[in-house]
Amino acid sequence: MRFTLEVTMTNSEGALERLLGRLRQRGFGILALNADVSGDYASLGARITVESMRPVEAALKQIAKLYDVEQVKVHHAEQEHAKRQNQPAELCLSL
Amino acid sequence: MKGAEIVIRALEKEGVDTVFGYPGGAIMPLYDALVDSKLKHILVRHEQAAALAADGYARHSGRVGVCFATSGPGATNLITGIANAFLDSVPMVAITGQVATPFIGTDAFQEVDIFGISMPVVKHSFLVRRIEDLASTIHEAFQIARTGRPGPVLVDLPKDVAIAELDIVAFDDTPDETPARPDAHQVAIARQMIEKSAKPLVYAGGGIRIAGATGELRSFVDATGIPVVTTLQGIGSVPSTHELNLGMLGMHGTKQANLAVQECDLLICVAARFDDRVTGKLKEFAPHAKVIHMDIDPAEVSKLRAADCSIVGDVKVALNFLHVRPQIDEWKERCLSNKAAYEFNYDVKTEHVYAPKMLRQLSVQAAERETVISCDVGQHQMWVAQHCQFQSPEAHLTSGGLGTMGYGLPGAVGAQLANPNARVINVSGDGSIMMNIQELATIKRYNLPVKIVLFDNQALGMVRQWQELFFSERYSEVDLSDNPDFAKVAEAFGIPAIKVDKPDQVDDAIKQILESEGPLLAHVMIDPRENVWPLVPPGKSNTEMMEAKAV
Ligand SMILES: Cc1ncc(C[n+]2csc(CCOP(=O)(O)OP(=O)(O)O)c2C)c(N)n1
Ligand SMILES: [Mg+2]
Repeated sequence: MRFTLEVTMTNSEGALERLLGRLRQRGFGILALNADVSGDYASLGARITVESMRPVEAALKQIAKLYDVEQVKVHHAEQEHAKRQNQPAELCLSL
Repeated sequence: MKGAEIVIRALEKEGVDTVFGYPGGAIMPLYDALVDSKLKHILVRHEQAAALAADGYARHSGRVGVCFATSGPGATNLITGIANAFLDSVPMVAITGQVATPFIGTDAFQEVDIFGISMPVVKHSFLVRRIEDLASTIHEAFQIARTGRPGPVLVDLPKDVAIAELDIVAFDDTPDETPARPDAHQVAIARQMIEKSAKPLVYAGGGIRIAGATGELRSFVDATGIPVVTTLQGIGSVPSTHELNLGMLGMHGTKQANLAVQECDLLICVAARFDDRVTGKLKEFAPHAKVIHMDIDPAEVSKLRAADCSIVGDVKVALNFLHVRPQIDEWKERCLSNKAAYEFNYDVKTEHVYAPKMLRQLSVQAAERETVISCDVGQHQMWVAQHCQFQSPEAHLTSGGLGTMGYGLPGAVGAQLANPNARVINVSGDGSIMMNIQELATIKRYNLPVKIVLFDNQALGMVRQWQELFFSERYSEVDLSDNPDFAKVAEAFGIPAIKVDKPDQVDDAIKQILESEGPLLAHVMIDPRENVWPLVPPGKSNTEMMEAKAV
């Protein structure tokens, strides 16, 4: 399953590293990554495409748990399972 | 005020009374500031023990455990203890000295990137580069460590920040966030599920102690009449002596607990996490059950087993709203008759001291006064879990998630300092004790009345057992028959010791363990062939339990 995560987080020391480390360790391979610091350096936005056999909810919950993370959204790039069709295309978890 | 003083003041403001640590170059400013502080610093003899003692302190008291270490090797030595706290959700703040900011990233003397090294085993971490951020960072670290699902937080403190001066320091005292209230709709669904169930079962985990929900769980169990199984960390959340307590489930669980899980039609998981040592083959775990999963951490719910009803938030609140009375007399009878049928048998024919029996006897006799048992890891740990009786989860300290040999002794040190009036007993093995045996010096130095019951089977017994059962008795590097004389070792540290070689010495040994004033080590020789039963082989379903074989 391939999907894209959009993460907004506080631009604190190690924030991006924590995000990438968490995804790797929890079994989400990173295919593409783009990240920008906001103009005032206060926050960081990252767009990451990942691939995994594990369900997207696991990635969402694990990312949402990171202290720096303010919001995480997911876009399904690929709808492999018919069951998924019934789900909203965009899950959003705001903290 | 100097940076180091800010840290000490901030710790005092958090209510910290005891810290565990070991000094060195980069953290010297903090140790200098300590001289003028009321904080009690416990000098351990290895930084791993500082983190593990802070863990024992925190696990037993519910307060945040604090440890200090210097940069480089001091900081890396903390890692096992930090990981131990991470995997068992123990609130901890670890403060490490770091080389001065201009030197960070230059391979300076005793520089390691502890911020990076610790990242996967902390709940969060800070590298404080500006003195202005120091006071608020310490407060934030404590809040993160103790709220939600607790865990360890690392604060890396560069030396130049520690010696810098700041005129006006604003200490932060924003109150902690209260745990989220569970969703009323989900709770209502859970009520219905419980009411309708014919064979419900409570599966109680370590989160009950963490949430302080022991009272709520007991009321829930008494109100509903539902039988309970507990995880290793959940032991004591319902008293071992409670009629409905079927004991621990999982790999070394009781037969009645595992059978109940396999037969139940509703599994009420309270702050547990479907660990592989609990579930065995996950697909075949509780195959007929719907699942209600309550936890503070949304990431645990449906992580390994899909929940039919998920209650995220304060388990205390949830439990209080679930007092219904399902019609389950038949089921209860079945569970209780299994419990009676599969009770442990202590009447074992052996010329050796039988550790399960000794532990049983010790814990029963110890019950007249508050007693804490801090375990190491191995067969003896499982025997404690199976055979000791506990009235509360704070009384049983055991490294579950990480399974850290060497936890027991520093864990006991931490618990004894958190609760000087309690009787604290470390149950250890001849392998585990050697992992942090240097802490005998800490026990001596602070004259802590910690008792050590050392079960010596001249082996890494748990590994030996697996080699016997699953590796065709090809024993590989598990023999410890050249152990030192542990009684002499203890005596060399100034700690009295007794030897227990024969069953007829056990009564007297227990008496001494329970009645002696100061520290004591009881060196108990046991049969190396003795194994832990029952046992669910790894990867097998919990119905496939192997039973005791006579030695
Ligand atoms: C730090 C660490 N290293 C290795 C292990 C693997 N291990 C688990 S139990 C065990 C044997 C423990 O021996 P001992 O303390 O004598 O206890 P026994 O099983 O003999 O009661 C080992 C080596 C571990 N859990 N922790
Ligand atoms: Mg041993």
